[in-house]
Amino acid sequence: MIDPRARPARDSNESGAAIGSAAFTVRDVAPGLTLHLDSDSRRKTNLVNVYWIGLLGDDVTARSLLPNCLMRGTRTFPNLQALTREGERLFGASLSTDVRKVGERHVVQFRLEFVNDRYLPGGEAILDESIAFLRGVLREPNLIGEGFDPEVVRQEKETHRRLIEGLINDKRSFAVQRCIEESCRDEAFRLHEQGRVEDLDAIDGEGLAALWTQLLAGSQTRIYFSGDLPIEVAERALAPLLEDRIKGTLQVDPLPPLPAPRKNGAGREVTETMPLKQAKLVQSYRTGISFSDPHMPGFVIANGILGSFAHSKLFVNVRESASLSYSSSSSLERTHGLLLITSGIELARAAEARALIEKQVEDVRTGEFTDDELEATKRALDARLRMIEDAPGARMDIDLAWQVNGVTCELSEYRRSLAAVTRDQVAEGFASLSPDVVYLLAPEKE
Amino acid sequence: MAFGAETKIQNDTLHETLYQRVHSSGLPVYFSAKPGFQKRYSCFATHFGSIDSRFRRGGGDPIEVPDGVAHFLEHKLFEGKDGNALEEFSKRGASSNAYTSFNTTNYLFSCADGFYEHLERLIRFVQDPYFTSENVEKEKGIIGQEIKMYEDNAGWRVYFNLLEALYREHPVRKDIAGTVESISGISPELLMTCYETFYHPENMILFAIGDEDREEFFAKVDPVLSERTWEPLGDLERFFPDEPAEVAQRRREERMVVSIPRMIVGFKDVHPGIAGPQLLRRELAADILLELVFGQATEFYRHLYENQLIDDGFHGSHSSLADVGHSIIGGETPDPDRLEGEILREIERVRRDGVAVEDFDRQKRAVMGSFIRYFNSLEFTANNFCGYQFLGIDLLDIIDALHSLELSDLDRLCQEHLDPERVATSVILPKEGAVS
Repeated sequence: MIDPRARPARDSNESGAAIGSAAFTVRDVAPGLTLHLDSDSRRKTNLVNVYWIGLLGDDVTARSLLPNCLMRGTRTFPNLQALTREGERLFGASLSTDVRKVGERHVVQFRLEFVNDRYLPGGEAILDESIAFLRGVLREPNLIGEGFDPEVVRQEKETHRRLIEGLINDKRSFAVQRCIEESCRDEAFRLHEQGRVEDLDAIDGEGLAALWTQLLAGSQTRIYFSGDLPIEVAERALAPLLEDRIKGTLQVDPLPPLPAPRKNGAGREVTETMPLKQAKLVQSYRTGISFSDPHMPGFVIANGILGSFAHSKLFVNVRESASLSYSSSSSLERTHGLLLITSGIELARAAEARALIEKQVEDVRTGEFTDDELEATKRALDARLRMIEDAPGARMDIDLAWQVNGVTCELSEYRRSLAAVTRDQVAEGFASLSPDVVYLLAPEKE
Repeated sequence: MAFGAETKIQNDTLHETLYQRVHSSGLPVYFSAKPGFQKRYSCFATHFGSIDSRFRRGGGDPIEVPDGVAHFLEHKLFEGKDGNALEEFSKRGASSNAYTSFNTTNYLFSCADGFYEHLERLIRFVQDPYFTSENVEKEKGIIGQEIKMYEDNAGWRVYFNLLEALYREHPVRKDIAGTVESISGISPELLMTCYETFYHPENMILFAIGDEDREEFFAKVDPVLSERTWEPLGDLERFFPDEPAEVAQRRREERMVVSIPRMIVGFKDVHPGIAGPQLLRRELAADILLELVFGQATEFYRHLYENQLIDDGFHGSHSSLADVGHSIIGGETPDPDRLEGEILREIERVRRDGVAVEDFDRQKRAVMGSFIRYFNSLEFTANNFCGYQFLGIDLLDIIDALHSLELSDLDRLCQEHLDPERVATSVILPKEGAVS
């Protein structure tokens, strides 16, 4: 295959926050459990995503560790090897897990993609077996007594410790996380989605099994499906994932409302050093506006003008014109209300780079941008939203972010709201922006 | 007629159909219809990568160019007289990028609307170089930053250190971007020499995929491709040094800021003369062999995982070029020496005992399903199709190649390729002094 290490012409600026929603057919199955179904004849595979939504808090580490333990074996396929073989037998069905933050919510995700029966040779059929495969991982772990196998838990804790300690290996995302920790020192949002090393000691197999029971039966759960099947057929196929929940044996955990985004940034600077070749600069700002604030469309466009695209100010003025950086882009965490600008720079020119980046922010805020920049940004955002319609996984993630924020929105409606943004609304969007932390990860002097 | 006859390329298992016509300029143009998709994707690729550093066109003396020139040229083409093409695509609602690999430079865009406007832009910017002393000097600053960024990337460093250890002569051992020093000698004239040689239509491929009409596509692309006239390319020869079968160095180590060591072992495969369908079969056989020996479904993986020697990033992969190839196995590990020993002992065992037929049959099912899945992606289809064409391979033949593989092919490859005499090891060890 194409060498994954081929060098791209530029760092991707395309990792902006979730920005849209498309229409899924929704079925309220039980309190706190909904199905979101989509029939899509264009693709050769079916995709199922299961999301368990909970509070981002002290149990973040256990919540992140749990899916790894569930992936170690089921009653039918009792170890990793047997589980992997079953995935291979199902024509390379791809089952994976992930954890993420949506503001101060912590989401545990299970993702299964498998070939649609119509595309299998020799009339083979794997739909029901694939769902049973996922069901096994979610609902039938290979427990010993009341808990996960202590040896499995010991191994997964060690792997998880290495994962968290390994965040330092990717200097860019390490710098972003350090900036968030400094910005949100007294907020749950400071926590990394994978949790903390110091929590691991106290976690054991019984505790994890109890957490599993609680999340399986009691967390806000959203199950998404997309594939070339009639909605009713998909719904029937997914039924094995729902059984106990419908009986209603447990109360669904109520979630407190999301905190309102803070308005005032700290205006602090933090510098740390490491033996590196290139410095990383991360600047955080408080947006001061919530997910569904009427100023949000203006803010989204403002962020696009600033740093989401190859025509954005950061790319054009910081990277291209001044050669100050190989990468400089901005991203928006809309649920928590944070704007982050991340750049890879040369240490000797850090002050110059920072000043130039801050000027770009100021220019957007004071309306110093052309009509071309405004129109180009609207066009680029609209194109991005349309192309996302082809990508069921991205659509599901985006829809989930809307659901977490309690917003129901059609994609077309959202696209219209962005298209209608005026110059004044862009400036208004950034009006509440407040500088929080300037974090510099600097190479040590040789 | 500006296009020659049409060729239909099809695979029933993958449910993929492509149409190819060769333009009068010599350019092969491919089209694939994807009804209902919002996204349109196109790429314009040249058979010019980081290893093409010594070549000759139409007789005369061979030319030798500095390391990193293909990548440098990739950066530079985006810049035209009237501005930056990346920016122009973005302003008009498309997203563009490019990448340079060992043997390919590929320019690409995706969009929802205005496909033909963007396609014209793609062709024009790639076919209209604009190099000045000033813009070439400026690019050295940007690429210098890029090189530094990769120097902090342990995955990148461990890989290129291994290639340096595996290969003595072949330019695959050099970083794709070159070094700050090697690119310092690049001039506008040098870029133009490379451009005129490798950006000739006969040396390139245009690929388009999306919900567009085929006849309209070929009709619209024709005048754009006809804007420039080209003399026939003539003979283009690439020269690669003779690469010995033996590795250059048994082991390489480097210290970096990482939380845990990283170790990979590589097996070198020198196979001059193997190309096209034969190369595809060899690569596929190697990938399956590595999965059967080191994959998550093996007892060996389980042993390593349960002993905490690896995490789920541990894997084996194979890559091929025209004359050479290599298989790489490894990942992050607390004990590189022990992991290396385990891997080499396991290979010894498999060379003695062979692989099991039921594992092989199951793995074939997995590979087939994975390819059906990969072909959901417009980008995967277009990029890989072009990359393989430059090796004389038709990617849609992959399913037939898979069916044709037999267990004996894997056993033979295991003996030939996973040879303990042709192994090198690359290790990244943690440097003292984490964040402070």
